[in-house]
Amino acid sequence: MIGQARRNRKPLRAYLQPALVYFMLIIGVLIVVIPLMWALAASFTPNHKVFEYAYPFSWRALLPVDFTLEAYDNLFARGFGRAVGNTFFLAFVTVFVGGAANALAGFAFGRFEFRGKNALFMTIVMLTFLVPIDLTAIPRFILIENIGWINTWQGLLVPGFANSLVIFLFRQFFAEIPQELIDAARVDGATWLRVLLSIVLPISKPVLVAAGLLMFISQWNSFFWPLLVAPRQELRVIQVEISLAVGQYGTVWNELLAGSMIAAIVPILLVMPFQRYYVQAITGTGLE
Amino acid sequence: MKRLKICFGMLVLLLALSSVGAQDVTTVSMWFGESEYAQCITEVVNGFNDVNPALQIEIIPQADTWNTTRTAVAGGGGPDVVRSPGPSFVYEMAQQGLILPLDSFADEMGWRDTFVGWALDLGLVDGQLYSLADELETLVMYYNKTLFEANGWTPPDTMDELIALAEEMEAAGIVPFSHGNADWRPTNEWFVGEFMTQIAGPHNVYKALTGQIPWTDESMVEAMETLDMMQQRGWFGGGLDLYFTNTFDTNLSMLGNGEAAMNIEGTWRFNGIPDYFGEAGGNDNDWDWAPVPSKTGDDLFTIGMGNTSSINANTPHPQETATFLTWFFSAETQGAMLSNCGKGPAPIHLPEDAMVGLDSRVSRAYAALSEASADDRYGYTTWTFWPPKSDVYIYEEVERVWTGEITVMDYLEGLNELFAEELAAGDIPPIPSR
Amino acid sequence: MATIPQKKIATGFLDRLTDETWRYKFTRNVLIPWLFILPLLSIHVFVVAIPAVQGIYMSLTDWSGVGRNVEFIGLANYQELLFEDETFGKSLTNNFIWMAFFLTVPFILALFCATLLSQIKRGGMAYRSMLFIPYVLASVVTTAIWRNLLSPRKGIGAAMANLTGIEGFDIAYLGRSETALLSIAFIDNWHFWGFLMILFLAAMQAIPPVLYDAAKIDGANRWQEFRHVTLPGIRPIFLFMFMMVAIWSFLAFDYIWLLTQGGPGGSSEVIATQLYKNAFLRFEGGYGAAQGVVISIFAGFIIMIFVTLRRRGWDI
Repeated sequence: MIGQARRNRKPLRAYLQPALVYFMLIIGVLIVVIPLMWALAASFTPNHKVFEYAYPFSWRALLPVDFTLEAYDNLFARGFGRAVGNTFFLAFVTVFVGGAANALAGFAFGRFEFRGKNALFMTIVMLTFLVPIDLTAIPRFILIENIGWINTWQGLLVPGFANSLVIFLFRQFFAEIPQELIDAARVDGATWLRVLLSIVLPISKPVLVAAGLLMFISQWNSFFWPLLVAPRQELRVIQVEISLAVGQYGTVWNELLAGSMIAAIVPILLVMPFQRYYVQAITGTGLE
Repeated sequence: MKRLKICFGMLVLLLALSSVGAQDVTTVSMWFGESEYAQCITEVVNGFNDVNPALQIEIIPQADTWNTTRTAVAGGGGPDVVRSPGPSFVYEMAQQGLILPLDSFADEMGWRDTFVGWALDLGLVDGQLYSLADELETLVMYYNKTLFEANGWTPPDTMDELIALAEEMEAAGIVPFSHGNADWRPTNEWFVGEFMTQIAGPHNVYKALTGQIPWTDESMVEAMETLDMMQQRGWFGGGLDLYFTNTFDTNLSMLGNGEAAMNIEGTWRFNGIPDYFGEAGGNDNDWDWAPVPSKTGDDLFTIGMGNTSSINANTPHPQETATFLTWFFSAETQGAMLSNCGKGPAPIHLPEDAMVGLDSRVSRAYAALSEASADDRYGYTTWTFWPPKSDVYIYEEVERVWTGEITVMDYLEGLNELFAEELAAGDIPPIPSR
Repeated sequence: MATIPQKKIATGFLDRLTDETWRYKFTRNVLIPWLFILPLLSIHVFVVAIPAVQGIYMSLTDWSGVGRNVEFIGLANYQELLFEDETFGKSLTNNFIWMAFFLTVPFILALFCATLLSQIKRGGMAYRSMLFIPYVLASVVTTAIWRNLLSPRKGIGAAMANLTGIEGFDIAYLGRSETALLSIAFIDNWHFWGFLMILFLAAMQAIPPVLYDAAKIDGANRWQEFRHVTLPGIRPIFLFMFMMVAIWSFLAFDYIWLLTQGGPGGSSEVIATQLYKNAFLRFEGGYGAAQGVVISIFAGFIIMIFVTLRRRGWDI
């Protein structure tokens, strides 16, 4: 209502300002979009012509040269479809099983007082930051090898269940839940698991979605661990499949770009509708 | 003929059935990099699988091959045939007992006759054989033949002629060398190793590698000063900053379209270079190669290995793996992989007819290389013969010489110190004595 | 606690077993929470803790990075790293430059753009999606695109120089010691800031409109609105991301590795690239592990700062 009143008083400014806003946004988008357009166009171009107009750079680099589906054909001919399926499976199982484990622990860290709680929590979070994965990869690989999980789904999945950002989010969110809600249920004789399942989870949509997204995307993009632990073709995931286009003496650019374009679609489709939950989960503002 | 095939087929089937009855099929695995290449190797290896039903070879395309191999093998897994980028990696794995000594297989399966004289020595660790050298490579000077002909230039023989020619090119507005390291930073070491060999001479490099003379020797200083001079004058790619940003694609396009005249690169580039010339490259030019000019005018070739093959200590089938390696390193197989997949051949006795169907420029290069190695005109590539820390130092720190942070002398002194440490610790890959 | 005699504990323990309230407390404060934590903890011990502890142990050895035969050498790796390694100081400085860049540029960009986007009513989703795409592209692809676009010979800079006739755009941004690190940061930021923007925007949209209306009634101008309504509204996510970005600054690796591997002449070297070279190229895995531990100490230090501030009553 107030905006309405203002617009009536200052028509010129009211029109100019959005115009300026759109203009600046368009500039920003151009910086982002030009490279993307090139990548998309190049994925529809024969490999040896990929750099033809990017070099020297001209607007024609933004359109495919000699349009072809060669890259996509090759990619799917050598099993990209299976890799997409594998990655979906990997990501979904991680979201549900890993999510459950993290939610349980997050609930304990957020709602209970017990000796050594903070120390344990800090240790868990800190150790995950003891990167780089390449260094801890060898001892981890030795463990996985010793129990015979090489080239198995378990070997691919289980390490992805531990995600310190996710447990951090769960703890944060659960700690903000009003005590009265829980007390009421406890008085009614509900067990703690029941409290978690029927009282806490229904009001925790933001953190569930956010944690799910985080775990999904981290598995969707995972590269080094799957590469290491499951070299078998039947278990190959998207990023590993894409990287096979990068060779020692040359890169099949159009395949690399085509694979990346497909790989990028899913996270975008997932993040766009759910982004606000992520923020609510971190800020604890999404409590319904 | 058809009948024979059927008979043969039945025989194979019978063999297969009987062996399945008696024992399970043994599978031996080997990892190769990118998918296209692995696919080509698979097709060649299928020839083995077809006639050996009890022993099946699985070629697995594995991105980031060496990193995954290293981690997997260290963790007690990995493929049966362990491939590494060179002797210093073999040395580390052998020290840790991750790969098997191969001496008994070499005797039993005749590898000592298959490989050329010095080649098996490259796989020695403390006197025992641990790896078989593969993908023989050397550096040559590619040049734009059409451009050379149009200007009446001929490939120079000596370093002085090269410098004079480069000056002429510079005056004509042509970049002498299309060099750049943006895609692969260790590209630097190609030039360091090459200039040391061509200017200081392979005998001095050998002495330095065996600790008889220091790296600060006058001849080495001269080599590095010449290299630095070329960088400073912008002969490598058009300027030092351009050198740091030129990708392989840029390098080869420049060479192809005549913006640049020459390119010192590995024989592995025989695979890609035709794409940048003639119709494929969108120009009317042709290419050829010449030996890298040396100070004395002799045709010297540095020898390098792209890969090594060893047997995983964890394999349940060492004997079968060795049987496969015998086939893999046979002249026939290596010839097929060279002409079908462009894989550099292993340093084996490769008969002339194994190279039929190959571009004459390519076969000429491998012939010249084997002649040079028989003729004491061979040198050493840094990635095959230098110990690991010195090798990293060579390509990392030389950039500081070029950017003017340190002098050539500082650089060589640093190298000398590091090399002395590694020499004393015994971390030196085997240098075949000359 | 330590002064209580053993005997007393023993008898106390027996007494407690029969005590109803004690059993309740035990269940409530020990059994239940540990049961809840157990599934995650066992995974964690298995895939994180044991490997991490082994990593720390390796930093005290001469591990080559390849095998398992190691010799314990105490703190020698740390001594060399902190007191003898000349490149360590330079790398650390670069990490701090990196941190300074990423704690300012993407935050300002994201705030600015999110503010703009929160005002428009049409096409917001389209803009948002586009700005977000770079975040989900693989680093191999992003770096390949930008390496070509930043090429001094034929990239955008050269096109600009041709178009405007002004020299100076066509610099080899990645090939000069002075500009290499910042150019990489620019490229990494191109990929990263959209993510930050999305988060800020979502937080801004969660601010109750009543607050803005109230500010307007109070006669606040645009800036005052931003300062007193928007910023406090997005503060939790802002500070959380501030902490995460600060931590990530010490882990910076892939973009640098893919674009320059620390060059030219070591000008874009950071701890993680050094670590990689030591562990995997120079066969000094133990030394690399020590560098890894140092990185985690920095990460831990940043977390401690935030935890401390929180304890002191900051609303983080």
